[in-house]
Amino acid sequence: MNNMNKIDDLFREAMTGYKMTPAPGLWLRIERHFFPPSKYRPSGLITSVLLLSIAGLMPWILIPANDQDEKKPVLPEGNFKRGYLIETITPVEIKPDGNGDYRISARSFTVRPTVYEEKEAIPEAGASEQFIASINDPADDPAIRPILIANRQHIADLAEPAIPNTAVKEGLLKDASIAFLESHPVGLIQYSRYIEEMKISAELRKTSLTPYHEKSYVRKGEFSAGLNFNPSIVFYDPNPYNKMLGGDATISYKMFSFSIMTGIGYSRMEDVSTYKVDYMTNDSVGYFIRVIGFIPDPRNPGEITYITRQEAIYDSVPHYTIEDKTNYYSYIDIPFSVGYTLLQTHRISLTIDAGIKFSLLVDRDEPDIDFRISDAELINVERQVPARLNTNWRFTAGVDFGYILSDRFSLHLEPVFEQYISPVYAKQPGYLPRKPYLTGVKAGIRYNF
Amino acid sequence: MNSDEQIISGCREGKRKAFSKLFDTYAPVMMGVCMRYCKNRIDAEDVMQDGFIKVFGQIHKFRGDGSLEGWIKRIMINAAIDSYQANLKHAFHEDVTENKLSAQIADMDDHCDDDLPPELQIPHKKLMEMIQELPDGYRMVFNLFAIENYSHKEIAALLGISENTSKTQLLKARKALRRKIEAIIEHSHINRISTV
Repeated sequence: MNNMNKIDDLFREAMTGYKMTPAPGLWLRIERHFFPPSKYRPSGLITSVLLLSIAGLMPWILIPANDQDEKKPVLPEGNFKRGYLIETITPVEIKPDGNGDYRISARSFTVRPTVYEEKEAIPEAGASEQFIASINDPADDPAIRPILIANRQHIADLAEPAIPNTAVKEGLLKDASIAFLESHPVGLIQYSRYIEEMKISAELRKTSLTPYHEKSYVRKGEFSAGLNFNPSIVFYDPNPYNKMLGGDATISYKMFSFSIMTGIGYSRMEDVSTYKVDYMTNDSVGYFIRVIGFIPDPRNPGEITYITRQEAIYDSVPHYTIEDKTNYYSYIDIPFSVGYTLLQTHRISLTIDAGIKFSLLVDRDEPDIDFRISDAELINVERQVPARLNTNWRFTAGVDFGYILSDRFSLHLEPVFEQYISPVYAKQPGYLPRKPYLTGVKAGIRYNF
Repeated sequence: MNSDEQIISGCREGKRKAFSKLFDTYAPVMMGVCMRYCKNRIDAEDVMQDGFIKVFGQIHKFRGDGSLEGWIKRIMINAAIDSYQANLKHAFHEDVTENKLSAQIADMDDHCDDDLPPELQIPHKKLMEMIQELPDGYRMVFNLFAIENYSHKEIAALLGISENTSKTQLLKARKALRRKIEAIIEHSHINRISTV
């Protein structure tokens, strides 16, 4: 339409490209629609990190320092070497299995630094004079077989009271050997040296042991159960973050440097959701001219001057506002991960692990909107963020720092990273799919069976 | 992040900075558009909020055929129409007979020259106030016809009214605006005389 009207031209020229600065709060309102804010402030984040750091350092603060690593054994005069002494933790248990045989309980070993004197091996000497060195289970170690065989009679004599019917046979008598080993010190010569010597002579050296230190513990091939507390921050990239608290009970099996872990956990996650709240208020919507009187014009009969008053018209007018509300969601988590121990000393372990975690939504805590506009009638509350899905999968990875308190207990602190593999929200047009990630700390205690 | 392409690409990826940049770039112009369609600043900001939420939600649909500003402006106008239609009960009271007569007058009015003085200088802010003071229906039609250059047929389709009603509303809007302009002219004339 070719518009020739001057009124139109006047306004078109003036209004084309006319700019006005919007209120500063307008962007915040729009931003909150797409990026719901978190009530988890950075100050809270910093506080949490500090508390967790302190919690993680507590074992080092509360437990007296064990300086055995720094405290080098004083080597006596002679051909003494530094090594490690292996001893069984508990006396061996030999029980009849009901079929006429005997069963020996599973054993655990302690390892402690020591000093030993290297001597020539004398296979034909009495068993009590031998120092048996092994880096494996002594009963299975071919390196000690010559000694066991050479002393089989003595072993059988020793074993006799415990295993009355054990026959003395050629070769390794495993059960009897174990019984024998339980009552004698079993030493571990430093690994590299041991191998080297075996290559040269294939013969063990006789040593005398000088136990030096108090207990320290390293274990292998075992089940353990753990209890963990797991605070995390969930990042809805590019959204701000929300917090999640959780805990789990785990069971793991470790064989050499590898371990597998599973368990069950519970987590409670915050989620700040945005709602569009429609309401009505009684507003002025226009006006009308009320005639309140008139004056006839005496000079012009028939002409009347009306006296008028402008009056406002009120009506209910719809409005809406965008409100934020914190909802809480509870999940049952089932983790599964595999780990590899990079470092294992008598006190400290460092393990990397990775795996997956399945989460099942078990509870939604979505309180009502707190609508506080006076003289307004609430019409409708429409959730802008899609509903949460009932199940999720996520990838997990972490680096576990372990501190071994005793042969049974160890403390663990593990920074963890988890990435959701599937979106957390149901599909909704106009809303970007969210696959958040989270970082947190897993702190807990583990019991070794 | 400066060009429209970068902003659009960032918005499609859901980047907050891109959203913010797009808003900062186009908000002043769009605020001017929304103000024209609303009777006050509060309503204009409501419309603009709706409009930008739609812009961000539908940015993936922008194909780059026209300018980004034009695309956003169309969304703002649609948001204003949505808002207006939500309050439709206050707007038009159609009288078929009156509409027909007025429409004929409006057709003539489209092509007539007004007697506005050529040296007329009215601040843009004042002109904006004049538009905002119009009744809702007048304002909608006047904006769409006079400023956006929509035809009566298009306006009728957009607002769900007849073409005659659109023409009538335009005529009344122009008259109302003319009265306001004349009042300003008269006022300035009186002032000039009194200063002399």
